[in-house]
Amino acid sequence: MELDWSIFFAQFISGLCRAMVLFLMASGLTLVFGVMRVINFAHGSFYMLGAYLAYSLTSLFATTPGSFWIALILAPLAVGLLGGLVEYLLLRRIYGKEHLLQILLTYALIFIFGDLVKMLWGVELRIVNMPPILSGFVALAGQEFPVYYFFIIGVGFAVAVGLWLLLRLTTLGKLVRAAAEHRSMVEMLGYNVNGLFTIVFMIATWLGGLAGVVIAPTVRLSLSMDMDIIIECFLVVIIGGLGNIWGALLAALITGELYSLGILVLEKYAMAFLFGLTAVIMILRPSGLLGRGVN
Amino acid sequence: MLLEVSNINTFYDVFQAVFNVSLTVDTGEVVCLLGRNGAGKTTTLSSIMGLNSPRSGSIKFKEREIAGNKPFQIARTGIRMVPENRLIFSDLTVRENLELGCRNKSGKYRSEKIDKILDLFPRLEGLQYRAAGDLSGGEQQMVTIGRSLMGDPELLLLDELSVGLAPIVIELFKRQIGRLREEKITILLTEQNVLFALDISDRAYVIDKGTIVYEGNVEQLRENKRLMSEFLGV
Repeated sequence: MELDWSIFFAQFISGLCRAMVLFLMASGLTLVFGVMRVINFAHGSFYMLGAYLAYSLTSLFATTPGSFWIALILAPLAVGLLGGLVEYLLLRRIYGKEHLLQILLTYALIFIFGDLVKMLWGVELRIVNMPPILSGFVALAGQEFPVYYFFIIGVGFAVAVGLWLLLRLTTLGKLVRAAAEHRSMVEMLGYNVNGLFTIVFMIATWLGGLAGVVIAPTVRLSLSMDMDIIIECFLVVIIGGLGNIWGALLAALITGELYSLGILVLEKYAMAFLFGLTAVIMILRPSGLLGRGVN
Repeated sequence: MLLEVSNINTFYDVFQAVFNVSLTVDTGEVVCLLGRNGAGKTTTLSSIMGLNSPRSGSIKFKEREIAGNKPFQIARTGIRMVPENRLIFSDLTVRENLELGCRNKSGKYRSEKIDKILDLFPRLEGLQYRAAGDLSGGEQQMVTIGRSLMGDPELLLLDELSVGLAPIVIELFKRQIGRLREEKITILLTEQNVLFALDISDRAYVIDKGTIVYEGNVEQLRENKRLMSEFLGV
């Protein structure tokens, strides 16, 4: 069978797009684990809230030009603020305690936010309109691609660069890296680590909310969208190495492409490639591709 | 009195590690707390720093009660601790490690402070932009002391400074602590290396099984063969 390179290229772009959404999600998940040692099962809920808030905001500002862009700014901000509230009121009480409590709490949040979304937006599927400027197609290598694909890829790379700059060049970023390694030492230098954790959780949930807004025009919003993505995100975090943002980027690119190109080989079993890859990585390198190992 | 610890009792869960410990440190003094491994030295320093707050007793710094406060609150009163295991930020460069020691200060002030630290430890001059995790044990210890000094501490707690260091490096630290004394920085240190500690201290406490068994000047302790042998293994 002769390989059709234009289809291969189309799947590659589609995989890149999928990878960037996964990265937006997984970066927040892995940041929270790396710094706070919290496994946030409810991360998908913040993603779902971002998407539903985008729906409400684009509906509210339907007659205003640029309603999507308003949602792109406001919805992740609102989700980030909610994240800060969750950290301040709930998570802060369980740091240093057994991991089971974290799992119980963050798992409970999935149900609480799920019911909240059901109460506020109902069970019907919702649609967010694509902004007109991004709703066209672009021809590339004999194939037509939605412009929105490139928007998603651009947002993903912009966030990666932004996170790199934040973590490498700012005092906040250096504190985050320092606290990820020795929380007590950061505190002994006079920094309020609890406050730092609130900021980290807000950034992580902002990222989740941003992923939700970015994906919203490409899917039908449903009550299951939190769980639909979270498992794949956990695979990305595990493959990349728990707590490593660049590992998450690398793993998102690998898994996004593996899924997308895997469809070309075995259409129905593309997801199995991801689980297979995770199993192989866990056997060969249990700390993940770029992980240093976590106790 | 700069630091006044009175009758503190500190626990790890149900295990009591420190029993009614009292000690004082006056401004400008270098005081050592000596004892064998597991005697309660680190627990005493951790209690002062708020890492493991005492269940009872009092810790006053500049006449204000600090027992029960969080480490960051205690650090902001002017106390810095160099922990035994250094807790270096290995992913950050030497310069970044030092910068984090200086909270809420301008870039110019930080640079001037870093210059002073590099003057104290010239060895770090050429290592400023290296990842701190790549440094030798002695160099890392210089970074951790420098990082603590960046915060202009009035009281410096040094926990087992000499552990794992080569004799030549210990000699270097002896000289540098002498320089800190000249700058009137008050130091409370714990040590298993008794001779090193006695050489640099004005006064000494000996702790055994969580209880203070000696308090006095270093010369008297040096001459007290029974104490030196029974509690310090010298």
